[in-house]
Amino acid sequence: MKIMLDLAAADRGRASIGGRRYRELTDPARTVGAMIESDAFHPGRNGRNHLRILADATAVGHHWVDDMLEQVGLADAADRRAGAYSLGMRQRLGLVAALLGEPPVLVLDEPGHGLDPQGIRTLCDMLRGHAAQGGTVFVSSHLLAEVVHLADDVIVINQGRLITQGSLAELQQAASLVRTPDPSRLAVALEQAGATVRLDGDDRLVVRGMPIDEIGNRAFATGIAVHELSPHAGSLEELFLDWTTDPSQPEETTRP
Amino acid sequence: MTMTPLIRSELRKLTSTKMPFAFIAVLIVIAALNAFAAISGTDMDGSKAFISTEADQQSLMAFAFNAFMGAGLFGAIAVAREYGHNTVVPTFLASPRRHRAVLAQLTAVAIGGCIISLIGAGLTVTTVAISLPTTDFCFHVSAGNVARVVAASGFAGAGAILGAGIGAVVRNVGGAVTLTVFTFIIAPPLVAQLANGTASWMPANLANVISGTVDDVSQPAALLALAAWAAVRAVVGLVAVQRRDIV
Repeated sequence: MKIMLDLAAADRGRASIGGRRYRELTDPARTVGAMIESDAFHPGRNGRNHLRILADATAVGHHWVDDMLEQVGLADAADRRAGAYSLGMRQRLGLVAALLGEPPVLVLDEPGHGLDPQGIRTLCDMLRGHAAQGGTVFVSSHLLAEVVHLADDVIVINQGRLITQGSLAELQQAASLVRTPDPSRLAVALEQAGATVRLDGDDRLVVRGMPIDEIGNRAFATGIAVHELSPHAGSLEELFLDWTTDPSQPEETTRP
Repeated sequence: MTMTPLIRSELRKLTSTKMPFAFIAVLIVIAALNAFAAISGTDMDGSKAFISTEADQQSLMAFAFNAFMGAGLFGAIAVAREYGHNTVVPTFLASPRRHRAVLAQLTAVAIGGCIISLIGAGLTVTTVAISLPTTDFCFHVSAGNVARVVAASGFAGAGAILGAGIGAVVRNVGGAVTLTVFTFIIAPPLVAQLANGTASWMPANLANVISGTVDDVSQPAALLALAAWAAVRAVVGLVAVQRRDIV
């Protein structure tokens, strides 16, 4: 995210928003609203002044500040030191800062962190509403339940490497369940062909990254009996673990 | 977009915390100490010769070096804390062409440093002027020289730029303060000992030149030299900000 927003340099490659680098945008702060550091405020400065500083820098009227503080329920605390805010209040302050000037694109790092369930619901509604009005919301999160409620498209990055990307619905469906008396040998065969395989019980495999027909063909070619072969819809958590499990760890691997 | 919104934003940053008030509180203490020195201080022989002439009194009021160093600390803290509190992140998001944000920051700290220094000079002159009648000597300094002493302190905005340059490189309040103090107090005598003829070009002497209490360098040369001291640090800070990640 910092590379996207020109806060950090990429080792290689190029990140762009709408086809242009962040620094090349005509009015970057009013095109992209970002929340990268949830504690990016001076603890001795009150919330209203924090937002007014941002409003000044982006030439947004101060009436916006008051409206947004009201909208996220921080109006009563606006003149208190931000350092005395709770985690949830800080998060909301960061969200307001990102929303100043109604940017069409939002880039938010862990926006639900520290919010109570009602706050998360409000956040999801707000971001869904933004997307429904034609905006783009780019969110990073380790809270997978939050992602399920928020995301249409998912990018999975593990240790700096892109693991997979696509629509959440497709990714959740893009697995096959195989029941076989020889799961270990079939797992090896499928992994050698590029599939991601997870042992699920004594005789079942969950296979990703390979069409169901090809799984059947490869099992047949290897001479392994298959008792069941069916599409498998997994939870996002299950998907995430499949994508990010380190194969070098024996307890996580499908290899014998 | 013009620089005006960025400068306004930076000025609001400076005025929306207690830092300027802390500096003003220190200035009040310094002014009070000056008054105390005028009232109670004596030379080694017990006389008050150190306030007997116009030159002596002007020297007592000469605030320019204090102002220059104080403004340097003000600039260093103002910029370094931006990195410490991550408030530099929204700044660079609003202005991803970082040189513009840094120039706005330098402008704001220069204005802030100048104002604080003028307040400090005003307080010092006032307290000395008020305290002198309690001694055997009246206030001898001409209006022109008082104006010069105060105006010299106003040039401390350059000191704030110097400190801001250091803050942008160090990015840590403690480190920036230490390096600023080193630059103003510790390094100059060392350099002057190592390189003959450089003592006149150190900030303390240059500040005294523009205050009119020393004349071993011409006024324009002293102003230029002080500006150069600030400009070098500012350029180093600008380059560092352009090249380094904001993490």
